[in-house]
Amino acid sequence: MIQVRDLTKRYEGRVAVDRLSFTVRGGEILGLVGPNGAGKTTTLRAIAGIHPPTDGTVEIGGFDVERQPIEAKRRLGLIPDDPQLFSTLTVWEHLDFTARVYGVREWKAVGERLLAELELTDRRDSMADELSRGMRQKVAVACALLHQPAALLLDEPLTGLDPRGIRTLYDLLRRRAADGAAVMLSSHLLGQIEGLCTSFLVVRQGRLLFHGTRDELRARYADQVGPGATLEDIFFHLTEDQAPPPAAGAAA
Amino acid sequence: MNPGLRYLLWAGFRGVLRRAGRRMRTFRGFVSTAIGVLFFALVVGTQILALVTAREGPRLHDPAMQGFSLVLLLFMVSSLLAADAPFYWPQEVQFLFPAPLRRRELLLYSLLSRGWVQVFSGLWLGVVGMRMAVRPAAAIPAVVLSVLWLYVLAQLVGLLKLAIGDRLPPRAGRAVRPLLGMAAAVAGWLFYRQVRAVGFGPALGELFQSPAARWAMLPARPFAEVFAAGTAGAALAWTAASLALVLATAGAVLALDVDFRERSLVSSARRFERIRRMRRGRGGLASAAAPKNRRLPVPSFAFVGAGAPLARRQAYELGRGLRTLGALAFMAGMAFFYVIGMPRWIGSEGGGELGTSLVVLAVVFPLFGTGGFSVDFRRDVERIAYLRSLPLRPTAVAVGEVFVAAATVAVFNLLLLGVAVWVVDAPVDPRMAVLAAAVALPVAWLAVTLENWLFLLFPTRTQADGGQQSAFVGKQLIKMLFKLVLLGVVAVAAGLTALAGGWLADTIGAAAGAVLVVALACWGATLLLARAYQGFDLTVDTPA
Repeated sequence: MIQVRDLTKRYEGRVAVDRLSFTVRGGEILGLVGPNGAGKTTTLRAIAGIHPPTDGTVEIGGFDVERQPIEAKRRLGLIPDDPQLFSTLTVWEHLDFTARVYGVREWKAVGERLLAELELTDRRDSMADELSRGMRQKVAVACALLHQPAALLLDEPLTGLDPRGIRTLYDLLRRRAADGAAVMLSSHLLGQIEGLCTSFLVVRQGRLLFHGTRDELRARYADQVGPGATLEDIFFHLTEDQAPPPAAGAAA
Repeated sequence: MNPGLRYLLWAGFRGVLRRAGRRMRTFRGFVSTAIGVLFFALVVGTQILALVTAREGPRLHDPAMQGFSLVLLLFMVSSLLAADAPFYWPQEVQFLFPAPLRRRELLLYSLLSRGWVQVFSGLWLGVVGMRMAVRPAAAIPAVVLSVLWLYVLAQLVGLLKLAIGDRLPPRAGRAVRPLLGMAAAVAGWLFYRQVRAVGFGPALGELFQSPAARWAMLPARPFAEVFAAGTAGAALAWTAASLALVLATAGAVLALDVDFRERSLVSSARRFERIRRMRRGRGGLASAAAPKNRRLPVPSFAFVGAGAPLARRQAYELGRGLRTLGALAFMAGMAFFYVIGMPRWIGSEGGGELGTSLVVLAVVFPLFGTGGFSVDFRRDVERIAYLRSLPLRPTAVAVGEVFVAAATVAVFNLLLLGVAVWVVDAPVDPRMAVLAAAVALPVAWLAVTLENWLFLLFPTRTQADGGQQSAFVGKQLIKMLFKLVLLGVVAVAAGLTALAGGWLADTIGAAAGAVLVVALACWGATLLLARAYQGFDLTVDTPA
């Protein structure tokens, strides 16, 4: 559902994403992990069509994000790391606006359900600047899920959410994946997304270090880190400076 | 246009009104809005009263046209130089960029959502300009359409810059700005020489007649013709032509197929950072760009006392944000023009002695210049919690925070006085010159501390756009009046002390008395500031 080929993004001479290639299939929940400055946000923004890639292609549901942006973006939902809402709109008006932009006709029942699940029903008429950080995050989640996208991107989605909010988000993401959506979320907290993700993509300095399932990750590095190592131990081993060069070992 | 964008435009407009109504429910919001509305009413009322009771003869077409063209040309040049990729707020980037919207739809949304703000600004300026137009009512469409056109033109030039800049080699792109700057400096110098030779009015006339100026002002002609129209028919015809020009420029913006996303993201992020600083205490002039001077020699400021490290940090920030100094220099230039240049070169003061105006300059510049020069508490409002955690007394924090700003304004003030004495060809009253130089530092200190004191007492989030315009104007008006009154009180007290000192003792006694009063006032203002800092309620007052 999400197909990335040789994605490269350069900023003023600095390479933020370096020839990244991977696929996220429908039903898969991919965890994009890496230390700060690894290029996670840039990768997600390039997939979402916010940053035009310097090189390479991104396809959502078979549509190229650069050449067929409207078709590709209709199938996409993005939840950014720092949710910014329109301060002059209420929670409900954000859903109304999103429905109009994506051309969703019968959205009110879905909107009501999303607000109930995210515990926002009693805040539906609150202005955006009356909401806490966590609530703004929940509104961004509701907006991104309203048009039931086939590909869902989440950038550090757990920031600001309380434990109940995290559990609700996990349930929503699992259901979207069960319905056939490709879900991709970035985090540097491997322990928190370990139980949610079905596969992992580890990046450092914009380059792919590993792409595969949890079991594949353990199997590949068990002899180097030790059989009882946690995913976090493997992550540290992979992303520390003396880690082996990435290109040869990276495989799905 | 996408129905979602249409909805967003309408909801945004309604939301501005809703927020204005909500703000009126708080005491601070109500008072500042009421004063702002009163100010608007006073300006509009004064204009109407002046029009009704005017005894002067009818205005002539050519001078009105020339004056309007000149103003429009100045705005045109400055907005073209500053033109960049279209600006989008972070929430617009978040919702609109990943949405299934065409680039053209994003541009149209940008033009329409900012356009109505331009229309309101134009209406306000139009009312102010009514008395200068040949037919007062024609000033409204002339100014509204001009402001709108300038905005649309800036968008067009921003996109053209992108289209051309992407094709230029980087070295050529880097050379453009210095070349433009040099050309402007040479033109300014030539014009200054002509002003010295024949006077300001004739020099301006010659400039208007030059072929270069005629070509440069050609696009502005329909708007100037509306402003200078002598009949309703002419005004209507030129209004139609102006409207057509605005629409044609907007059409060109939409027709240009330039991928602005990348540049918009970068420039919008920088501009948003500036706006954020401005909202959080008028610190918008501080540069949001990456610092360039990494190794900066800054003195220890040990003489400032315990607050020296804070002063030193402010000096580092000032040295690495040279645009802040540039903005202060601009304010100095404006003060010089209004206090010295305008009365001498345009008005009737001619070549009289340079004395009182030096003292006025030494007071006026700090009063206006400190409003936007916020290398102090206003820039550190988000760091108040950190400042509180330091082992420093409130007075030391207050001194450390404002010292660099006050010293910089005082140095600029002294330089300004020096330039005035050097540039203006007139005899100088030495006593007044000494007085002006003597008040430069205390006035700067008082202006900066009072500005900070008022900010810490009323740190409401205001901005000069949209529905908060009246509250913003109200707040600025209160601040300016308050600073003027307090400075007046100090000046009167110092004057009376000097008089008493002169009567009881001699000149030295008079001077010593005045210096003591001014020093006490400065110390008192610092104590007030320290108290306001101590009483600053982080849970309520930190603008979110």
